[in-house]
Amino acid sequence: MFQLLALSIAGAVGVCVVLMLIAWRPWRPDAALAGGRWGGAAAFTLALMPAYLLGERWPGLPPSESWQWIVYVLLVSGAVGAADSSRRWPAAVRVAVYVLPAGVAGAVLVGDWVESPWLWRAVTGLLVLVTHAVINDAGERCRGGSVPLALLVAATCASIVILEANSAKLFQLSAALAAGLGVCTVLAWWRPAVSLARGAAPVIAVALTGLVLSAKFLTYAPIPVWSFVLVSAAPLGLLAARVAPGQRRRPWIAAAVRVIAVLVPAGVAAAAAVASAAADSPYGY
Amino acid sequence: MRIRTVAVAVALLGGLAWLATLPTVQAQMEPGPRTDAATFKVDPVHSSIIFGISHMGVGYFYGRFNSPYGEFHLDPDDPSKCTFEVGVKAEKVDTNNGRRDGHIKSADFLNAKQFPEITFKSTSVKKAGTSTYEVTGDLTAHGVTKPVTVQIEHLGTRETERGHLAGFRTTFTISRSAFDISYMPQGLGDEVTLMVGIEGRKK
Repeated sequence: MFQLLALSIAGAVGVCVVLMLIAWRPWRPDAALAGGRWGGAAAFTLALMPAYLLGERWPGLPPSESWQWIVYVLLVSGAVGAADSSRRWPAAVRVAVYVLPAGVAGAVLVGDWVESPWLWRAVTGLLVLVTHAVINDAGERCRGGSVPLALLVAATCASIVILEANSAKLFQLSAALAAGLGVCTVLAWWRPAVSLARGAAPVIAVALTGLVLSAKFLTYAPIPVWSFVLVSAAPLGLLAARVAPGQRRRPWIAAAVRVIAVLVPAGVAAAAAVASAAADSPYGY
Repeated sequence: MRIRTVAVAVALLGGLAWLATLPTVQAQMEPGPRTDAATFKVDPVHSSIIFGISHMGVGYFYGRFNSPYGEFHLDPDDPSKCTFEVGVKAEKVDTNNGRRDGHIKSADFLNAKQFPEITFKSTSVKKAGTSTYEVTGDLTAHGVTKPVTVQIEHLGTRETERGHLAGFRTTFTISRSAFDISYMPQGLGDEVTLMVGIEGRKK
């Protein structure tokens, strides 16, 4: 399992480094960097594919297992993100940009066999929609690495929850997402004009929500439901950070507030998952 | 006095004679195949499904599926009329470790929430020996159905104090990757051995 995990992370890092460098070409002046946002969409979409293919064959259409839809939902979100980065679309198209990834994720990632499927479809779609909007908003307002770092924290805590839920395949994917966000954090700290807004945002929203809720639907670990929901909703802490004190002070304080605002809910969810799993039988993969 | 002694002796002899007509425990334990066809419901308490798989290339690990269900029809005169339909809930996997059970039930392996049942349904039965049958059927697990052929040993059919019972057993192997359960090929073997012992009560 650790070999697969290492390869998943290495694959995600490699894909993100190559695509982000090609798209953003960070040695250029600041003004030119905005044109590289399609690279964020492409990088996060493809970063998860090595992790998927290390554990599974490419799924048929439709896939036999509901969680396998994640690769197609990622492709749709990546295309939406890339299209969104290409120009300022009219309002009607902007609505579609938000609704399409959320609607597709909610419709296909929640199988009919899930208890209360329509409720969970609504929750999944809503979480993707809101997370997408929050990442777009934070990415447009905040320069630098604080937004990707906050999302890296969320993805890391999500990985812990998924690992404790005993789903190694989904854990590989979430770890790949975290690795991609790590690359983006470094790049954005180097060149603050690099942004996740209008590009990578729908892909990250779909990956984070889809993987965490799939783990909730497919596993048997005694982890509370609120732990899954809280960690997938953790990026909404960026919204809370917007109204938190300290935003108009030094940039590093504002960045720390953003990270903490995401870390608190994500950390609580991860701690609850670890505590629940610790009470269960000891087990090593 | 003599009359009383004779009466007691006669009573004892009569009692012994009556006891001799009762089926003994020993007789109940002996196999005694019946010739009439019957359909049996699987007894989940006295039936077992054990699986084994190699671990890390050095060990061999066993687990079980609890509470099998289903029914089978035995017709000693016409084996082609025999049928075997046995299933188990995927979430009934039991490896003596709750977290490992959870992992096996997850989408990494059985995906028990989406595919809750593992079933075997015979499609043809042929006599293979005095008490063995060659049974071909469809094995469904993880949403994938594959034909398998197994040798089933009919262990016995008899009237007991628990009713009219019959039982059989079989051991066979499957390739887990054929059922799209291929995760962790480095740690777990592809070949899974299944040992099945089924007891049923006449419906």
